[in-house]
Amino acid sequence: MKLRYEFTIMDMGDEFAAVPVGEDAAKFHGMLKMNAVSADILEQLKNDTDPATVHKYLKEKYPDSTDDEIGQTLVKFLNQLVREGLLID
Amino acid sequence: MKFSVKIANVNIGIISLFDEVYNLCRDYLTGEKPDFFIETKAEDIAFEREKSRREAEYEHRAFSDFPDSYLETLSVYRKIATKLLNFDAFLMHGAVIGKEGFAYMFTAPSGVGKTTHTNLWLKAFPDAFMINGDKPILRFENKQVHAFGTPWAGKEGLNRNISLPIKAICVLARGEKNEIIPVGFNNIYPLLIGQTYRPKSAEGMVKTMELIKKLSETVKFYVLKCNLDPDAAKVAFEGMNK
Repeated sequence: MKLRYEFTIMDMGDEFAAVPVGEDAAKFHGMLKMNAVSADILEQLKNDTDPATVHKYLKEKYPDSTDDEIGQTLVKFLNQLVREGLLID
Repeated sequence: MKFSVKIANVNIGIISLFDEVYNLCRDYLTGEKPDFFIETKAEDIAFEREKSRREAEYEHRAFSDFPDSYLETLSVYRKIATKLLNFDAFLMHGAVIGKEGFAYMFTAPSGVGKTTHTNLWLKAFPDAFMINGDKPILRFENKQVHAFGTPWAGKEGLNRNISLPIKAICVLARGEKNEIIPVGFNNIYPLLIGQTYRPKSAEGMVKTMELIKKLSETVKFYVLKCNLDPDAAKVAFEGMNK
């Protein structure tokens, strides 16, 4: 799985913003607002990957979080991306 | 045609296919050496036509097939806006009024009433004038962001070749009564990004977002809920000068 479009992710202060770029950018009308963990997930999805790999990456970056907490956060954000048509297999 | 313009204190050489760009830019011509050149080609015009068609489709409205000469003006500004990022300058959709040495910018999604509200300012304040009614350039100079007039100024074409430091950016919303509320950058930046010209490249988009973020260092933000009453201009001006 990977992102359908290329995104630029920017730390805007209290949260992160992601805006599509490239030739297909105009097909996604809008932008995404997210927290730091979701921004990390989005960054990982720029290249083809899978949920287990992203989970492992997050576990290493956030060692104080439990597997369940990371899993729930990951699933919730991936579902949001699927709903918005932003993920491809 | 080959000519040069000065926009946002940047000298730009333009090589165009049609005269319409030159005529549009008459008030901005310069004899100074260009900092960069842009040139339009047939494929640029085809790109603008296709973009226009796609936007019409997305907005469920009839597609207007504009003449090549007009589409070239859009292409020229797109190229200029992309290059100006290298000069800490960017294009933000909105109307900018000048008054008492400062610029006041009003932005909102299409149809909310930027033109209507700014017309109230022009009527209410004899010393107020339009810097640009639609597509000004915002540029950081000496740690201050300035609004610059440009030839691209919407249907009415209201613009003046002048710049002023921006005191406030105000998002317009329709309201039953006139009320202005200060808002934090975090509440307003998604709309600002939506109203800003987005370059295709990741590098250009990063620069654009950095400049938008930098606005928060020097500019105050407000939401103005307003109606058509002339008092709306006074509420806005006083609210942004408290």
